[in-house]
Amino acid sequence: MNKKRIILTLIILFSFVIPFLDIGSYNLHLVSYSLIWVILAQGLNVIQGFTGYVSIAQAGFFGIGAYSSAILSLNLGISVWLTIPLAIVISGIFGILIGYPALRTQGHYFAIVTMSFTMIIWVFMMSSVKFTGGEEGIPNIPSPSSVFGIDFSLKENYYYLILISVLITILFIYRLMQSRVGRAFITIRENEQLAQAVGISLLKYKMLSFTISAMLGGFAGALYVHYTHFVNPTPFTVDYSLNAILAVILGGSGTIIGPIIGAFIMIFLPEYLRIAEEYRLIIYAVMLILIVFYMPKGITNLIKIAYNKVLSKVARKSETKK
Amino acid sequence: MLKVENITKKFGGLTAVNNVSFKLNKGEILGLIGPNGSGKTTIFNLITSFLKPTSGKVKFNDEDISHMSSHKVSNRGISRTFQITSILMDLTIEENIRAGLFKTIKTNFIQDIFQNKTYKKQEEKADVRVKEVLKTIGLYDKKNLLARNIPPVDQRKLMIGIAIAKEPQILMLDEPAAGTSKEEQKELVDIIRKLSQLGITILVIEHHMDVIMNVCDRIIALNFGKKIAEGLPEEIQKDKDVIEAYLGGESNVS
Ligand SMILES: Nc1ncnc2c1ncn2[C@@H]1O[C@H](COP(=O)(O)OP(=O)(O)O)[C@@H](O)[C@H]1O
Ligand SMILES: [Mg+2]
Repeated sequence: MNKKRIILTLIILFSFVIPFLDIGSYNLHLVSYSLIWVILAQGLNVIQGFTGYVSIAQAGFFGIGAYSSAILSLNLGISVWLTIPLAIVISGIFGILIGYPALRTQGHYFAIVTMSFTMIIWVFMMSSVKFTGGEEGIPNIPSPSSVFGIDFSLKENYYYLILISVLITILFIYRLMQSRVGRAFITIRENEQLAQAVGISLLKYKMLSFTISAMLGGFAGALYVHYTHFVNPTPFTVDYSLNAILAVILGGSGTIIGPIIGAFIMIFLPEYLRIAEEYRLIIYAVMLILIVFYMPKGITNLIKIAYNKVLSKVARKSETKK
Repeated sequence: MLKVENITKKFGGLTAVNNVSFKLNKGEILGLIGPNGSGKTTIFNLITSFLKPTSGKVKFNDEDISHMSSHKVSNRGISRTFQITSILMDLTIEENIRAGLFKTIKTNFIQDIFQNKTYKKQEEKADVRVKEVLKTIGLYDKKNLLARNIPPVDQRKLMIGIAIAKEPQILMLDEPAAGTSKEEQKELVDIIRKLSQLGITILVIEHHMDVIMNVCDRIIALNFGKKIAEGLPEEIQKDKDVIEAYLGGESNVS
């Protein structure tokens, strides 16, 4: 337990000094973007990993959060410190509206409804030019105003806003999963019949799970637009919903570390492999198949196994020394 | 305490349960027997609202519960187990029991996230209860094992443990001894007796005659969805209709 604490503290400390390391502004951008995706993936993991319902709506909620915060801050002049929480609430409301019809029935219906939702949101962003700027998007989205002299229009400073948001999100999920609510999600994932028999309302807790995932998707979207200062419909297609699903599965769905690892891989991998756009989807599909067949519990589990192996080797060595 | 009133359930053309009525009295162990397909599990599903009746009512403490949702029936104080083992296979024994405590842990969302005093107290209370239940069903030493990795009889015990965790008023057991040996059946009988002594009212479906004759205060026999007999174990054992329904006498139940 203590060892875990130490590793965790080191990782957090390391993440705080990243802007001081000489990794170049592009890499810092990739780290920031990955961290935004960590929030997105953590959100998706609540419904997909912990509750057992794969949602294709996450890019849609990402988009709703993004556009809500952009439009509210730019057009209505509301402080970004307020539009971010508002964007979270708006995404949550959409979560309830979509979740209610989608979660009342069982089976593939949920996947279809959530996918249609993402498509509809995308079409709306593309077509309602007056509201969203259409394909051209919305430029000049403001940064959050300075606090204690910290200027958030600087990418290095905004990085900390993202980082703290990520830490709060992770702590929130961690606590959630230690509570009766989190246990209800897992009971539903494992056995819906038993869940009902122990007194869990399936609809209520599936809705709650989905709404939390929507809110975190919206949170990620809001953080994103005040970072890029520009938004258009490109990052909110069904493709990106599938990427988010892949991130969760790749890292290890139903774990807290999984979506973190998965998000970083999904952002860094295409950059570093310089994968041509047209092959990207094929490579993702192959990756997905390999994971499902050879490591269904994701990379987190592989790391765990490797870690235990190293530990037992070390233990053996110290024993032979004696 | 529990009243089943003229309940009927039709699946298309098949009448699985046909105008059945009975009462479950506080503190007793009532047995439900009958050949395969005679409607026993369907009656359980009707009482717990996993199925809605075609006609008739189920009353619990004078409240009609037949159209309530399943989780609400459960939260009124009626727990059940399933004929086919239904547990959380990939969780530990301890986590399984904790799942059964869902409704007894009284915290709200804010308390859960901030893990304040109420949260800690409630979780500690749950710890105590989990331990108590594990001792009752005799699985305390195995509490950290995955449910998947324990023998079938322990899985049957675990399913009972999950059901009793929240201290229900009524416990309904659907063939608790399904797939167990004679020896193991004795252990299950002991557990059922213990639970009865703790004050839980029990309704039990059983396949194995020696289990049911041993443990029940009263028995109801079904055949083709109809109640054909009701009485003390000795009476049921001698009942002509019951013997006929089982074609081959008292021990050849299948
Ligand atoms: N959900 C269902 N749909 C259709 N028929 C069912 C359903 N459940 C049970 N039955 C039928 O109802 C009859 C009674 O079944 P059941 O209550 O399971 O019997 P028992 O538990 O006494 O063996 C059987 O003929 C069974 O096939
Ligand atoms: Mg049955």
